[in-house]
Amino acid sequence: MLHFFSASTGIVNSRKAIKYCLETALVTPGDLSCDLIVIHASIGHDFDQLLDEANQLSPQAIVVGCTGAGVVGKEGSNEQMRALAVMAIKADHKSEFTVTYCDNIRGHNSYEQAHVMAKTLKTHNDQVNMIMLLASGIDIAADQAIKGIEDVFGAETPIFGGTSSDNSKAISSFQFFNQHILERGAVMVGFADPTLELVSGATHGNVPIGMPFTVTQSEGNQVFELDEQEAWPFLMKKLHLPPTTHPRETIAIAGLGERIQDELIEEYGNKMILRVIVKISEDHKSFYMPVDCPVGTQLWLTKRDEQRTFDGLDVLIERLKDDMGSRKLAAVFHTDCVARGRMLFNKISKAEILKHMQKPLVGGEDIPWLGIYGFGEFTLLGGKNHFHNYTTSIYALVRS
Amino acid sequence: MKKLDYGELEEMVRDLQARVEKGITIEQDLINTKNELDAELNRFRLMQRYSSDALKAENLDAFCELTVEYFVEIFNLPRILFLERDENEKQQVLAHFGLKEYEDILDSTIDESMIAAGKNSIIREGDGRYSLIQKFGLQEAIICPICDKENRCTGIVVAGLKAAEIIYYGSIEEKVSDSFALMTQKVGGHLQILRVNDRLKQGIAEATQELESQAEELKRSNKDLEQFAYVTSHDLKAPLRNIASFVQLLNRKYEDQFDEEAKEYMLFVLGGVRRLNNLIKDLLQYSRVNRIDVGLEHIDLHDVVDVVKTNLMEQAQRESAQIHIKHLPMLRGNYSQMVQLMQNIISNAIKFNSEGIPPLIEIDGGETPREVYFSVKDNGIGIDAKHTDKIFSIFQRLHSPDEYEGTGIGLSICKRIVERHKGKIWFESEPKKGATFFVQIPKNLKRI
Repeated sequence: MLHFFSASTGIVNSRKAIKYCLETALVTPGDLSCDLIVIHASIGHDFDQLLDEANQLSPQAIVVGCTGAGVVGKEGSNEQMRALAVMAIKADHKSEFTVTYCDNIRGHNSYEQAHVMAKTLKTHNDQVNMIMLLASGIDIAADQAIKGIEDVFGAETPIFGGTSSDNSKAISSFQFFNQHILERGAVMVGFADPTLELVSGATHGNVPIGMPFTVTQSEGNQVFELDEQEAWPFLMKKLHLPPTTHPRETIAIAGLGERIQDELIEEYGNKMILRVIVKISEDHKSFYMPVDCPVGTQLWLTKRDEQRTFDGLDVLIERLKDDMGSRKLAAVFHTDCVARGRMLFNKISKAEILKHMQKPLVGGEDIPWLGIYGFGEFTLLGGKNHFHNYTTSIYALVRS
Repeated sequence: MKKLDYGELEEMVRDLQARVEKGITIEQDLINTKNELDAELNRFRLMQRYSSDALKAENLDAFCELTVEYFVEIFNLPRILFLERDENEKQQVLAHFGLKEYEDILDSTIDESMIAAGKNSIIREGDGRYSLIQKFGLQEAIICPICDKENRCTGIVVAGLKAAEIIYYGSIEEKVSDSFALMTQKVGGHLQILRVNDRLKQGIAEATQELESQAEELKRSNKDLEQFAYVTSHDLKAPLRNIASFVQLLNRKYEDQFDEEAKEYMLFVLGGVRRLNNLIKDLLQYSRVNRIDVGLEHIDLHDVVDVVKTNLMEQAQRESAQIHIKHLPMLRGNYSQMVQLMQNIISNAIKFNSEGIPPLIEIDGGETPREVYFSVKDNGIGIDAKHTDKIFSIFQRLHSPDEYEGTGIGLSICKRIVERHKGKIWFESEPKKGATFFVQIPKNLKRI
């Protein structure tokens, strides 16, 4: 059986911060031993110090994690330059989880890299029943990565997690595996605790604006033309911004919507699944989507609707509670889009969003919670693995 | 109303869409502005928290560490240098954050030109001082002096970013200057308080150390003296015994041949030998009180007084003294020392009698929840209050040996015994109205 413990802090000294988190999470200052540590840190932390200190404090533990624009713990959210959240996991048996990583996953090789990693997990442990994936968020074809995993484990094995981010600048984000700091990597954790099940969901509150535009030229996840015009200048014109604009300036306002199948609309609470652009070509003419974007795809500019954001969250949490039934909540992993942090919400709204999320779900209990503001989210929709952007995605691990 | 054609309708839709799309960027601008205000508020909230935390810092190191960490948190600037400057403008690094690799040069990187303006300023590429911050890897820095009341620079705080960090966090904005200056001012205030506290603590520590050292020296000197007194008196005993024996022999054998004058001299010699013998005996007793380990037992003070009465029988009879005992408690102490204590006090009570008035001595006692006490009251010559301090000191005599024989050690021995029993001894008296000596000993002594 896996046992979960979490803590988060705004302590700026990286060594002190990880020590505080482990001591707070594991309660016993003298004994910080655990088997797996999942770290989420904002980009300003000294990662070498974080990983080294984690290793010194809990030498037998495997350390995985990634950076985000901020972190979320049961203590609340923190998007400061140096924020840290940790989930420490103790396993009754070593076979209850397995971990692997790669150091070079990009748009063009996402399928292959994910496939190799999945095979490694499967070789180590064929009892894996859910997979946590933390991957680079700047240049990944997330749907291809999902396919790579599904081709090994089958489409019914749930994948959850997200893509790492920096502080919304879309320059570089980092992933961690033990003492390795990866810039274009991915880590995969296969959970094989038969007593655990995943109850998850995603929601966003954006609505489409006006008429859609159509992808008229693309290759994989690179979009060259929209409505037969150079894609990036076209999009920037729509937003009254110059074509020289870096995508980081547009994350909050250029969420592109793609219509989902009708049968998924009710569960999702929205007709649109959203895509974020964090990379453009060097000539500023084309841009990269986080998933394949074939010719003919219709895309909408979308706009945040605050009421729908809150309502959608309430509906999601109610659904998760229904799905959980009487089963006991063991831990919550949580991926939020960077754009749902301070980029789009002020401090009060952000706190309100978290309250709508955490309070009804944990019902006053001290449930370990580890969240991150990343560039994208891997979350089931209609029972199938999907990659999302701009959502709040909740992954509740329940004990059957 | 004019009917619009499709072209016009399409134009209107486009116009509406453009307005909505423009609305998105405007809304985002508003959110950004609100977030900037949030950030500013957060800075002040953190500064307030800093003030409270800084006061709790246990020492200078803890304060400096706390300070640089707060600078990082408040200003989102990951490299901090905190210097102090003394009267001779010599700089020392108090703390730094994120500059470990430049540790060796940090105290010499900031020169007068960087703080010449006397207020905080931002240094960027193109600034004449740029090369100085480059020495420790910074691309941009905000530098602010800490000034005392006389506007003398007593310290400097430098906060900055490396080039790679500017890509993530942006350039240092002019608008943080005021709050940075405010924070630096706070730091200066706290540093001053800490320095004053440190000086006071150091003064107290030095004074305590001095006192301890003096006490230790005194203790050692006392011990040496005791040892000296013990060894001297012990070694004097044998030759004195020889002198006494031979003088007595001489006196017995040649008494008939001595004329009156020689007999008188012989009496002086014998008297001198006796007094010297008493002195040596008392000195030995005095030094023995603390020298030897003694056991404790439950003592009935009635028994002690009985023994003392027997010991002093001859003196009591000679002076026609009467000793009345009222009530005496049990106590826990060393039997021999209690006999010595009681004997010295009673012996004095008999000795210092008023001429023509037989000594009347009353011994009484009792107990409180924590102590037992007893008193010895006499009707003798009494003691002037001005001698209070003198009376328990060794070799202090209030009367000449011609008036009252004695060594001046008896009450010092009493004081030593009582103090070894962790108790108190004092007296109440008026001249010619007798004296009462009080002794108080704690109950349940475990060891002495």
